[in-house]
Amino acid sequence: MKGTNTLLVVALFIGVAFHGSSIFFTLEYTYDALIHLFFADHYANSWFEPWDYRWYTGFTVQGYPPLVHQMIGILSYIGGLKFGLFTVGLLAILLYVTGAYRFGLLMTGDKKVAGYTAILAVFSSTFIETLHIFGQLPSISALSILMHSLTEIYLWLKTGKKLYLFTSLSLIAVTVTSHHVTPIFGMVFFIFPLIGMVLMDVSRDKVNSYKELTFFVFWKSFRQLFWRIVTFGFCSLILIVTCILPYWINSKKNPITQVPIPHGSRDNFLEVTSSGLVFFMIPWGILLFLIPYIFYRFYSKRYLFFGLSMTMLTILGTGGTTPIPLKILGETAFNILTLDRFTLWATIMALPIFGEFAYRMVEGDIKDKIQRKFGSVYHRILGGCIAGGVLFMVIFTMSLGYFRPSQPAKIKMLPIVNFLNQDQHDRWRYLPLGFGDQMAWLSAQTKAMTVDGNYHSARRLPELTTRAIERLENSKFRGVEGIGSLQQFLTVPEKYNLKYIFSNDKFYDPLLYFCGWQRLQQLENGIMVWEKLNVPPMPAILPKDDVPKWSKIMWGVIPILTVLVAFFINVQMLWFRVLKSKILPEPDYFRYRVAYKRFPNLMVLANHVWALVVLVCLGYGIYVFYIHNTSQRSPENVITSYYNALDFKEFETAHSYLDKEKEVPIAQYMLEVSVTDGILSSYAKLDAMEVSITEESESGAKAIVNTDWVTPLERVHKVYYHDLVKRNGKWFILPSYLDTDIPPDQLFSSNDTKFYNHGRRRITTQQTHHEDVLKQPVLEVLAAKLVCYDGQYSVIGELQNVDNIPADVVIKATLYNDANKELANYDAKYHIKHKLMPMETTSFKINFEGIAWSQTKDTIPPTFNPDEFTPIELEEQPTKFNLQCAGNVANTDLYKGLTIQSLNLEDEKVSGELYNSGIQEVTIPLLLVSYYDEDQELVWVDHKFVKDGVRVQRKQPFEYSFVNVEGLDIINSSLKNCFVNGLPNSSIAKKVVPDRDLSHAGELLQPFDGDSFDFVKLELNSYIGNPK
Amino acid sequence: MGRILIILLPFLLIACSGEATISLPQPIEVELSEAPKRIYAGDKAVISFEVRGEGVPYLKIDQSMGPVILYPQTSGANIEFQLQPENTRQSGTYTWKLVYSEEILQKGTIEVLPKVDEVTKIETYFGPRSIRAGGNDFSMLFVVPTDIYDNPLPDGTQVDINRQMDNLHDSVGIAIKNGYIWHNLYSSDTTGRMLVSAGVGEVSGKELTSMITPSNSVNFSIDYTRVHEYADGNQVVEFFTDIIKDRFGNVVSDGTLVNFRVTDQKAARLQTAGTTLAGVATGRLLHPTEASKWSVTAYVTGESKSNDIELSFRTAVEDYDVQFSEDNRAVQIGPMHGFMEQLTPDGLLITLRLYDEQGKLIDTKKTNSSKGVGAFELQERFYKNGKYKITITAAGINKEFQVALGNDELE
Repeated sequence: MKGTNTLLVVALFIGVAFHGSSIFFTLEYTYDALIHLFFADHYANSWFEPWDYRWYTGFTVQGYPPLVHQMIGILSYIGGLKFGLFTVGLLAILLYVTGAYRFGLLMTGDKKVAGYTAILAVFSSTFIETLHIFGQLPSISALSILMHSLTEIYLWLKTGKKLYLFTSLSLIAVTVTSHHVTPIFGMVFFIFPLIGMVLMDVSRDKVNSYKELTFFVFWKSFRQLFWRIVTFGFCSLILIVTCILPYWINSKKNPITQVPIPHGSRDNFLEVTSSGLVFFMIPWGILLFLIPYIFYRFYSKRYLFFGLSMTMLTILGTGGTTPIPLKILGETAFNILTLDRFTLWATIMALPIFGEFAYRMVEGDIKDKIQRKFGSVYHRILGGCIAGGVLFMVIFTMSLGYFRPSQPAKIKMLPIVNFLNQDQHDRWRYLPLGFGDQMAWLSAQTKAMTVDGNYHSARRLPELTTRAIERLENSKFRGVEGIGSLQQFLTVPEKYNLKYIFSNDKFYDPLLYFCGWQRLQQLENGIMVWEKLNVPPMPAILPKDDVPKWSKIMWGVIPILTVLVAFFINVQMLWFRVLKSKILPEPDYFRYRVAYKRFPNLMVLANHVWALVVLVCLGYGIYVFYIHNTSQRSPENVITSYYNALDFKEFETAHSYLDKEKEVPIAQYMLEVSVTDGILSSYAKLDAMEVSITEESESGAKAIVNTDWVTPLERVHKVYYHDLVKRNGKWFILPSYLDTDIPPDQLFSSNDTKFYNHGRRRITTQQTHHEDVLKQPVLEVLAAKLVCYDGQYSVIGELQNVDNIPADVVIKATLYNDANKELANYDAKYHIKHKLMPMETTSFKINFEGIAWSQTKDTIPPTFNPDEFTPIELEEQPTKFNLQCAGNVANTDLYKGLTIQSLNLEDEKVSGELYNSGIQEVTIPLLLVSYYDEDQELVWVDHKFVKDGVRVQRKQPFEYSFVNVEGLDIINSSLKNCFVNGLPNSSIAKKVVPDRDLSHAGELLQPFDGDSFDFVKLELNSYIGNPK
Repeated sequence: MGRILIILLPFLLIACSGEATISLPQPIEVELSEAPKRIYAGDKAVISFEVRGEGVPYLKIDQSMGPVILYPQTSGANIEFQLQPENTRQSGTYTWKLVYSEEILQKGTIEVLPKVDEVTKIETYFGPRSIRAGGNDFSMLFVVPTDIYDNPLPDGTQVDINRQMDNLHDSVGIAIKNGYIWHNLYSSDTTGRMLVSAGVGEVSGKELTSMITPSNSVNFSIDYTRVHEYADGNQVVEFFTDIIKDRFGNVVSDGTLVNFRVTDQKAARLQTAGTTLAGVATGRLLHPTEASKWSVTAYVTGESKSNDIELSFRTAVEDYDVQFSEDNRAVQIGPMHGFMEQLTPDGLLITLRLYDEQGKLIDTKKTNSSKGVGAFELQERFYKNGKYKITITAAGINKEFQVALGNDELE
């Protein structure tokens, strides 16, 4: 114990300065940090109550080890949640750097090497990624403490001093309460090899050289240390079980039923290169070039077991690239675990060896060897390259979050929090859309509840657990499957008391509109609030899964206790070590320091060859990337590039692929593109594209482009035809023709009735005064039928707003069998005009959608069928239905300016033009098509979204192909069980329009000679993206 | 063990000691000396008895808010129970029982009446807030006048209901029954606002409103305006109704939807719709692109419809030229002239269909006219040399050509 280790001090100094200051700019944008913040908020508010109502209609926080959350929670009493988060972040950095130092010291027994290890740990790209991009605080803390405990475990096994047993167990306990996976796998991958190393050291003491160390000697040492090993193993097992006992009980009681959610770490890294980059290239970083050296050292006799462990970790970390990890872990573990943690452990384990390499390279035998062999210039260049590589990886990793942000821009939460606190809005559930992981931060700030959540292991609603989506909030990234899950919540929101949606992504707007939601207001932070009418508030008493009191107390007390115990047990040693107030005997592991000399020639060669191979692979990867992205090499490439550019709205790039001879000026092109609105141009994400080239000649080709788009409403398939020309070896797309149609007038006027609802006229904290509660508009059901088509049951019909005020319509149908047993219920989704003017009619159809695959859990299709509609599984044949209609005063989305300008009736299809006669641009027109039989009785209702919007005073062609309704079966046609605002429909019909002229409806129908239908009715519903 | 026993001992002793003091009560006799039969809410009441024998009974008073136990003030043989004003705020029947050692010695009732002379508040509910004209529909007024203690007034108290409707003011008096009154106020034949209030003596309730909205509409008539009678596909034709009214002559509510059904010469039913503003609804359509004959009817579905009107459109473009280049690969259509020899407005749709020799459709190309002209290019790289049939459709006029596509000179 000579002077203070300057390298360690430097490492700590740089580590805290560098990481400690940058976490303020990165941590909040990481994937996980805000989730931990939410959990911390839970503990800060109700320390001993594990149930939290705010996510997933209630879940238990006993599904995640609590220590880090509780620490943040405690610190939040001093300076708020974020103070707690950053303080714990700083602590984790300190623990990590010192942990790496102690681990390095333990492994090499050389303070200098350990110092190098600590410095390299600060700049390790895997740590930077885990902290600054993933935000996995618990994982980092647990791993750091595990590294600290390794020394203690070594000393206990080696010396048998009881003090070391206590110190090691105290640290293990802290690890367990911070993170559950780390100690379990830590046992396997860190502690087992450590035991092996202790045995090697003990055996080495018995003989004169490693050469004499035979298996027999090793076996003898094992028998000698057996009881120490067992004592430690047994005690730590007890700690792992008891410290977080409620966690284990909870996992047993609520096994994770979640369908595997795809995670990049399970991808094949060669196929999905982005995953390869994030989960392999970045964590390994510069270590990739040193792999031969690392394994060479790890497979020396002393480190042999670490070598084995390292090999395993390396292989497991490759995810789906090779089939081995799947075979080793088994299906279940493979799908639950995120495999990037194995790479994290592998790279952390390699740190001491890397430190050793650095030492030898900078001032050791490798330096001598290289200088002697290749000259000192080469050594300097090589050193510069390695240092440059390390720096490059640091900057590259740090900037990743800047150039490819994983989160939407930071949202100011205060307006949302205020909104939820106003007017008892928190009596309903809310749902954020497009918030990214910031939704957790919103949840942490309010008492209001959401159906969504950000810790998917804790989900309980089958609507969520059966789908492989992370969150509803970002369902668009999971394609139609995600959208499908979201649709279920939006269509029957009253089931979840879901009334408010905060939309930060206009992508979801059409879906909300067509599911019957309306815009309420835009908050100051730009978030649009959508609301649904006729949703009951949450009951005062909500169900929860209670746990016994002892479990709550254990959960609240033990984790913090482990920290206190660990602190008191270890503080003395720490005191002596750091302040040198007492001379400590040199620990045992210092005796196994290797003298670094005579670096083998073979290794120099091997590592050079390897580095070359890595460089070649990298170069090849870059080359392939370039070839695939050279846009105009072939007709396919130019089409692909063109559509990709359009998809990402890079119009200038897209324009550059158009034929220059038929020059469309960029300004003109931009104008054209910017005026086209509609579901495809504004709300779609290109999902799949298939280009087939026909009639390719030397200078021209025709391309048929089959595109699949994911839109919020449905999957859209559209075929585009392009003519391509080749000029000077480059392919170009011929621009398609321009619509030059101009409206007759420049200025247009329109008169409309506008409606305004005060909400509350009196400012009061009480419930809305009864005088301010508007009368519900009266609706009348004109027809209602239960039909079976293609084995799927639907309730179809027609209803009218017979009141003098506009109505928002919510209808719910329930199916019954002959014995009046309820079988299913659902609300109308797209097949209705949700907003009706006075005397307006609408056709409707209610499909009964089940929760996808809930019945057939074991036969979940391996690939998701995008058009999957899961009809509800009915146990019995429905024969009757009940229809509940509710009208509420509507004052928005009442645009009726869309008309049918022309109509061509052909065989099996109808085409025509829509004309927008009003002064709002219709973004997505919906065509509701009703089929009638010869007696003008309704038989079927269908819909079609017209792909392009209709601009003001302009036309838009549409086409609709009729479906074959021959096999349709009308099971029940009756208005008997139809209710409007709770009253029987018949009484309303008698009272409001007593002398109804039934011939009107028939006269408005379009005669059409179709297969088993004779009339059709076309109705229009227009979604306006930007109401003015 | 011994220590525990010592600790437990006092408890045991206390538990046993209670038994010893219980003794049988001596029977007593009481006689009622004073008890009011009827008081007003908030008044003080005194009930007194003469007692013979040892022992003090208590008085239990039951009322709708729950029981009250009173202990007496004694002066010699007289005992007196005082029911304080704060205990008599609730009107209704109070039952008192004189109880002594679990035995009811006497009982009786006091009627507590609402304090009628201090009526302070009239609670009123009125709904629905809107009804239809015509005298069949009504809003119900529900009135609960109360005294200062929130007690409903006694049955038979007269409540005046005032109503202002159609510039007339009327009022009606109704007696309270069961503590409240309700009254149905029927609509008149004219739309407007019905204002009502209720009062008891000097005290008045607040103003309440019900809107009288129009009844079902009756048949109406429609007309149209347009700039000219040519099918140029560009100008707007406007259909409008006269003022739509109900059978009482009230203009229908603003926002009532009117559907215009337009049947063209091919029996296709076009649609436009308008919402009423001051009874008039307007629907718009563009002029058709070819000569057409439209017949138009408007509906307020289920309630009323309009007369039929007919209008026809003459073709805007009589004829147009089609010019081919030498190799037939450039086609120019037009210039097209309108009804007064002007170039047709931009945007007229021109369709070119290309058939091969066997009459098989190869390609369909579309363009819009610009400055009266539309042009197509048939490049050699896409269409090989040979004989083709070309049809061109614009403004409802079809033209057919047999052409041979020659060597491309466009490049």
